[in-house]
Amino acid sequence: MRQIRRNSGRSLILSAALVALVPTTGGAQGASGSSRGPDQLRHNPIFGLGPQTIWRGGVGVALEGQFTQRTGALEERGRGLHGELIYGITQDVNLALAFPLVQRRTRRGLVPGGAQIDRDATGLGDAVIRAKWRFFHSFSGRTQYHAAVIGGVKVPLAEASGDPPLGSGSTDFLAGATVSRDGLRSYLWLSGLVRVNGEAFGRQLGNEYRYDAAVGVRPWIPTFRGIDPLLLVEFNGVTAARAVVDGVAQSASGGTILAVSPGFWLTYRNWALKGGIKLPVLHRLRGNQPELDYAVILSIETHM
Amino acid sequence: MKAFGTTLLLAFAFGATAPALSAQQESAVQEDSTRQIEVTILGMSCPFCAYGVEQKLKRIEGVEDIEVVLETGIATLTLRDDADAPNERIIEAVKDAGFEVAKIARNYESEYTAFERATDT
Repeated sequence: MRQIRRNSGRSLILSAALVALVPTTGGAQGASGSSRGPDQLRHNPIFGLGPQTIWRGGVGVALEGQFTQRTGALEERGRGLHGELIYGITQDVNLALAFPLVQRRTRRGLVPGGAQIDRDATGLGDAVIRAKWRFFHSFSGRTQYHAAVIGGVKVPLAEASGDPPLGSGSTDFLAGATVSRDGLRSYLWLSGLVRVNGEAFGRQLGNEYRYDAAVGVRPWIPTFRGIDPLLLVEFNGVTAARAVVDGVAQSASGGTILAVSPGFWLTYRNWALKGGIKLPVLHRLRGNQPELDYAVILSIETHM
Repeated sequence: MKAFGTTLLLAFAFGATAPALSAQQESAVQEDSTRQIEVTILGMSCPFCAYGVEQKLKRIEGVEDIEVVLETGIATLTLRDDADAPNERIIEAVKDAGFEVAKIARNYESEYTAFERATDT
């Protein structure tokens, strides 16, 4: 199959980029993990949110690899290396800074069965600054019930006008709430998050609403000096409103994706290895948008 | 002569074993005199939690060693010589780690003294 590379006409690239813009960076894209929000805080499930916080004066460092694939009118593969720094202002108020390196590869067919255009971009992704306030906790033996609210801002550091763009170019705001029950044998989480997207270059991605539930089970009671495994199953949902470009709502944007995500944690003292795969079970996307095939996260985290 | 021999033998045996017994006794006394505090903590359910508690408790002045047992939720602090760690510092440290203290017990303190200390604080 003939492939047209970067040396194809500039106007063709710009047209392709514009057509690609909404379905790749708007709509229910958050479910694909290609531009993740506050998904990874201390002791969360893999793709959702949790109220767990680090201790007063504690520092958490996480390095996370992400891999996503979506197919449809556009085929896209994304890879990201996300660094995250967490600081415990108090035992109930944490501040986090996430700074990713992102690679996006897209393949688009001009006509069915015809030529294809491959695009590849690598660079700094959008940074996210988040604060978490654990406003409630209650203890019963070794079990803990707690709740937190989360607020954050996405700072547009990524190249937004490239092909494919690495970010939306907009400043976005995040607000969420989460509760959990942490026990020696099992964990339960519930969380909701809204992402209010700003406008950039005359376009505004639709606001995103995420809702997650997760359950984690330990095969045995953990010890401090041994490896502590936790097996997880998450239910992740994201619903996005339509994107607006130059004041016009885009028909092929927004929608809902529901997914089931098995995962694991392996913790040894202050080190944790976490991983999971998000497998969509429902796509209800408006218009012709690529569907999420999978999203994988593998991360290593330490607290000091 | 036989009685003298027996006495001499006993004296020799006593002389030879006496230092060993004293060492044992000394060790036992030393073991008994190790000052330890058992802190029962609520809500600690994972190694990260235990690590945070360990980090906070080991910064208390006078704490020489610390052993956290996740299964029981108990942190045992071993103190230096005659050092003591006040309840307020222990409670504050555990709170800073994000948890709560259920009970503090010292192996060098009677229940009566512990009660007095608790009512003082």
